[in-house]
Amino acid sequence: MSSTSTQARRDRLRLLRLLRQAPRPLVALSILIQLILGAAPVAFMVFSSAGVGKVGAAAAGGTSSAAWHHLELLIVLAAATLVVGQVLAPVQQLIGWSLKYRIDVDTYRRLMAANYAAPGIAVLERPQVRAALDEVIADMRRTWVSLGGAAAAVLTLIARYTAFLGALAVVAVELGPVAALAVGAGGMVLRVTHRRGATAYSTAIVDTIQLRRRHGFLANQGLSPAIGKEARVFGFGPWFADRGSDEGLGYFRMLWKVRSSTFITPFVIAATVTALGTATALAQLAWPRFGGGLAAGTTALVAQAVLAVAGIGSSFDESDYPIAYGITSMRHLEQVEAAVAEARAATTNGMGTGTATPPVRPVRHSIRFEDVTFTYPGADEPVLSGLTLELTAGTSLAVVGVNGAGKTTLIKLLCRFYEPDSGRILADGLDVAALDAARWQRQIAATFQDYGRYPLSAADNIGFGAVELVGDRAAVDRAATRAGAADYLSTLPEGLETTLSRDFKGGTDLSGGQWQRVALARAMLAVEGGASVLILDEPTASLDIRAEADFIEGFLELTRGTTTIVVSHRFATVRRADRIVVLDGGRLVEDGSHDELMALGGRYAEMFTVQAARFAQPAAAGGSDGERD
Amino acid sequence: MAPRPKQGWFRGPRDAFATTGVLFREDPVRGVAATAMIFSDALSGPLLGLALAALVEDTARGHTGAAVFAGCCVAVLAVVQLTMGHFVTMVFGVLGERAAVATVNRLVRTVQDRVTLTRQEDPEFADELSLLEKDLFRLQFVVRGLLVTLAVVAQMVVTVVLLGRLQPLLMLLPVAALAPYFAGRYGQRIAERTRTDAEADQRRAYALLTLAQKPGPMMEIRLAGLAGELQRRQEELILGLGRTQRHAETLSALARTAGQLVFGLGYGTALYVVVRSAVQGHAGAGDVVLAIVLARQVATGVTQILSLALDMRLTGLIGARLRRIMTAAAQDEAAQDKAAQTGNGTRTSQAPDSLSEGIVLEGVCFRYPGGDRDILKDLDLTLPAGSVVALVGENGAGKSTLVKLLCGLYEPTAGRILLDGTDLATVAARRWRERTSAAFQDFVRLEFPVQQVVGVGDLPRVGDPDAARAALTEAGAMDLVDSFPEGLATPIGTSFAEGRDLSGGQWQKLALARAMMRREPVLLILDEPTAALDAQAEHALFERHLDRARRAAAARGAIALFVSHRFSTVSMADHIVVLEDGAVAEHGGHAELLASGGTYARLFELQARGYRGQAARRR
Ligand SMILES: Nc1ncnc2c1ncn2[C@@H]1O[C@H](COP(=O)(O)OP(=O)(O)O)[C@@H](O)[C@H]1O
Ligand SMILES: Nc1ncnc2c1ncn2[C@@H]1O[C@H](COP(=O)(O)OP(=O)(O)O)[C@@H](O)[C@H]1O
Ligand SMILES: [Mg+2]
Ligand SMILES: [Mg+2]
Repeated sequence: MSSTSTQARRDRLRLLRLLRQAPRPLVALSILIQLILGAAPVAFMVFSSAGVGKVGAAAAGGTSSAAWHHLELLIVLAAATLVVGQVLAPVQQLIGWSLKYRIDVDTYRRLMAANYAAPGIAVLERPQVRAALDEVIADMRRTWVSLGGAAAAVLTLIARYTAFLGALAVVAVELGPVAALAVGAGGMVLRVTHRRGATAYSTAIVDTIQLRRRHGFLANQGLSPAIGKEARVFGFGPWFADRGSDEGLGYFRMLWKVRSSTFITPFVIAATVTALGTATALAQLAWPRFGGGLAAGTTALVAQAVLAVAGIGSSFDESDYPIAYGITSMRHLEQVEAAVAEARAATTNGMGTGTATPPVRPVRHSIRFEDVTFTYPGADEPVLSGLTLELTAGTSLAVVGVNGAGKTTLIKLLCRFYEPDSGRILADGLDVAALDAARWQRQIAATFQDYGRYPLSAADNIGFGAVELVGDRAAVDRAATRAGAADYLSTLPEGLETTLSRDFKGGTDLSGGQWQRVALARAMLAVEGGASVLILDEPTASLDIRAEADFIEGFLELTRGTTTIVVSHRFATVRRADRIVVLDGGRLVEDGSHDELMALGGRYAEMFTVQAARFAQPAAAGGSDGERD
Repeated sequence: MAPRPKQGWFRGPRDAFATTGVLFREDPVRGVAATAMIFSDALSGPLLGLALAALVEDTARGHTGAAVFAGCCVAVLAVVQLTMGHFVTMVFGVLGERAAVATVNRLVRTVQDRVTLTRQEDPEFADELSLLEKDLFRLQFVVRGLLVTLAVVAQMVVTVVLLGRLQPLLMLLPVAALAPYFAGRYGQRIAERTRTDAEADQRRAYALLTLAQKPGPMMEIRLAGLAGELQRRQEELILGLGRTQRHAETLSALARTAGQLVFGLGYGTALYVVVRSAVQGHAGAGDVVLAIVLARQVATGVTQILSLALDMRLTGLIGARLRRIMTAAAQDEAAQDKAAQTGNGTRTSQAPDSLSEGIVLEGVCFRYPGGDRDILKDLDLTLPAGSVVALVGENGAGKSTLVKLLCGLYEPTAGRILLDGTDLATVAARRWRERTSAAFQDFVRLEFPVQQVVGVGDLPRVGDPDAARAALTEAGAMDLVDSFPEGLATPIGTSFAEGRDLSGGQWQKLALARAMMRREPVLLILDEPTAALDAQAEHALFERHLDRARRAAAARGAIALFVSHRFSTVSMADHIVVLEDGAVAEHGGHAELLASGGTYARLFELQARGYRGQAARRR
């Protein structure tokens, strides 16, 4: 128990340290205001009770007596302290917002850094890391839970404890230490229970993360237009809604269980203790043997002070949960950062630790996979096992193989998104693992199957091929033209400035083939930006006939002479390559030019024939009946 | 989009109560218990004032027994005040979470089943939905706020009456509270407006942030060295958001400060009046204490009502958004029914179980809402019953759009779609969709166990393993599923749990299997079903598909339509339709179209070139 509370205290301190992100004067001002906010109620108590004490004398002296004037002054003072408190509250909220915002901007920066820092992607694909990252982002979006909000909330404790200590001093002075101890301890028991509850609850929140993510994902997908077509055709909308509810209730039932065990008995016990402590102090006040016989003003003061001390046992809506949640958010973020830092260290130190990495140069001679074996983290079978493959610079290589053969994996390894389990990848004889990964990655231009569809302008979508050329309209135009995307992009409402997402006003969406050409244009721009290896992973999958022909005649011709790796199931594209390899069972099973492989009569020839049969003789294209059986 | 709400002020409370209804319907017992607790919590305040006054009076008079009793009452009431809120929170947590789950359920049903696809895709509707979704988890807080407001109002009535007994002038105190109320309302308005204005920017920032975890962008960002650029853009967005927000926060803080100042002065005056009347002999010390405590409660009460009344507006906003979405759904359904009724006679036409003539499109035009041009232009087309139809055409020709119209997902802007002579507009869309099945180009990646991912293609058999196996076999995905250790029970997808990750082609096969679930569709559509498949898988798929299509054609005149760019498959169709720029350029059999030497022949030749002769140029 005590280790948990030390941990909790340490977490709070770390939250406080986040305040360093905020300007110091602002923090100082906030602390000052919190002190005033805490002192104001105590001062009010003192002034107003002193006033009560003067009522008798003033009543005797009448409204022109010195006692009455004294009383008037006390009333003005009491009112003034109250006004100060009331007026400062909104100011404090504004400052609190500012602090929160400053820190959250920094949190946002940390999130971005975590996203982009590691050259490999395996770390971001780890379920725990992804879950933690998603949690922090979700927390940020629900603005009430954030690191900034939590740090600002820690400051509000100042006001609470100032009031507590002030009132406690009053009780101690007027009633003695026993009464002060009774009510102070009583209040603190309840306080600790509140705080423990909040911590236990936020821990439960962390423990149920997977359940919650599943619930959230289903709610999100369930409300998204992306499933709209199938939901309607298959009529599974209500079914989907119910799956979401099942998941949601499953998750919440877990939470409810935690809550009823943490929040009922301990609170009843603590409340009883607090009531006893408070009653003890007040009884002492009422009992002549201890405090009795006090003047009316003192009685009023002490009674109010006792209540103010017990008030430490109230729930601090402005801080208990914001802090507890903020701490879990902070832990998640730190978990992600640690994982990313570790991955980053692992990549940069891949080979020679300490030694400077050799400079990265464009590939001039060859790329060679040497006995490369790779298994995805968590998978039981390797995707590539002992693959050896050499590609001559300036030529094109086509990789074919059935779905799941490992073609995309091969590419990802070349890009150093993953590191091989064993074997090496050499660029011009140099192990790429020894290079600076981020620099090496800039040598590669690629379109992937899951190419990005950025909710930005068409120009940005193309410009994103190479950071240096993002704003270079001439280069973007050229790339669009070369990829055959310029014509229709120019017909968009705002041309290349049109946002390519219907989620935003004035935005528009493209068809699959149009998107694919944007992705090709992006790769084209990357080549212009200096990449020396071009990778096309199923670039023609959703292109139409003319576009594919254009692609073959245009794009492939334009990039002839660039070191190219193309993955495709379309053999019109594949056969254009200088060299073709067939991947199966994690290694190469065939290797050669189109003509060689056709002559071989193996897998490649078989696959090619399936698609080409229809075109065998130009004129002999029969009706559909000839094809069946 | 549903008409914008009239911001009548009485709307707020009404919508707020509607929202409360959402919560209470789920669990009336807890609802009532929580309400009782909230009220006892609020009323403990004035009682505490009375007990405290008694304590002071009795102590001063030396009535020890009474004073000790009063002290104990004070202690108990104080602890009630300290802890009741906590227990209320617990009860409300359950209540609110239940309601949130139920409301999401209702919303999913509404947007995926009741409103039209056109409306679902309307950005304004999407905004409304996303704001509502974001607020749903706050449901419990806002409803609690509303109830607390009511309780605090009751508390204020008691307090004001007690104060009035001391000195009638004190009853005016709450009037001073109007200033902070209006100030706060002003602040809230600004905040809400900023929130709505900033919504798009915020969505964009977070879209960019989360993009970095999607597989493709994750890789592209690294290759292109985009990290810095993306960081810069996001920073620009969030700093911009911060500036707008700071402005709003400052204005509203200023307004609230001014409001509080007015009240503070009122309070000071009240204090003065009470003390003065005490001094003039109308009240004792206990009364002054009571006044001090109670008047302060007016301050906290007013602050509470003030902030809670503002919450109530938020509560109302949730209710209003919910109402607007539901109204839109009702409108869509009514429009559907009306269309169905003003067609042939007064009765809704039946969706055909079989076709004898086929599907005829007459002068069909279609334009996306907000679009500036027709995507389908005066399209005339006949899909003969019992035929296998291939739809070819360039990207953007409108093939997928046509597919969506045929499924009854969109309605033609002009022209008619006839099913054996019956206008599709007179058929309940739902009924017609039950007679169709489709694999769309942008198919859904459902993340459930394989059984369900496939099974939802025919809901009544969603749990039937034989049906799922048959469909998977048809889609050529049975091998894949057999390779999973848990077979049909294997969870798919990695978005939230450690499910199985699939490649694009594998996802596509599952979507195809889903389309193969329905037993007797009269229209089966596959939109570029093999784009991501390898050559052999594609070939095998089409052979099986044709087989099945022939049987369905013989049995009920069913039409099988597919979109493809590969002539190896297109040429297998009975009937080929070439779509060009939203209109039919040519149609007919493969041989016929080749012979006529039109677009089709040209496209065929274009693709054939890629497969004939010596293609690879050597250097
Ligand atoms: N991120 C990943 N984690 C685990 N397994 C993966 C991942 N990506 C791909 N796989 C698996 O690795 C195998 C090869 O995938 P891939 O290289 O994408 O094939 P191809 O591109 O040849 O279709 C497949 O069985 C696939 O399921
Ligand atoms: N939801 C939509 N909103 C607006 N325009 C769209 C939408 N979907 C497609 N379009 C536009 O309609 C045209 C036809 O698209 P589509 O039917 O997908 O073509 P195809 O399937 O023939 O490639 C394209 O220009 C595309 O940009
Ligand atoms: Mg692949
Ligand atoms: Mg399409």
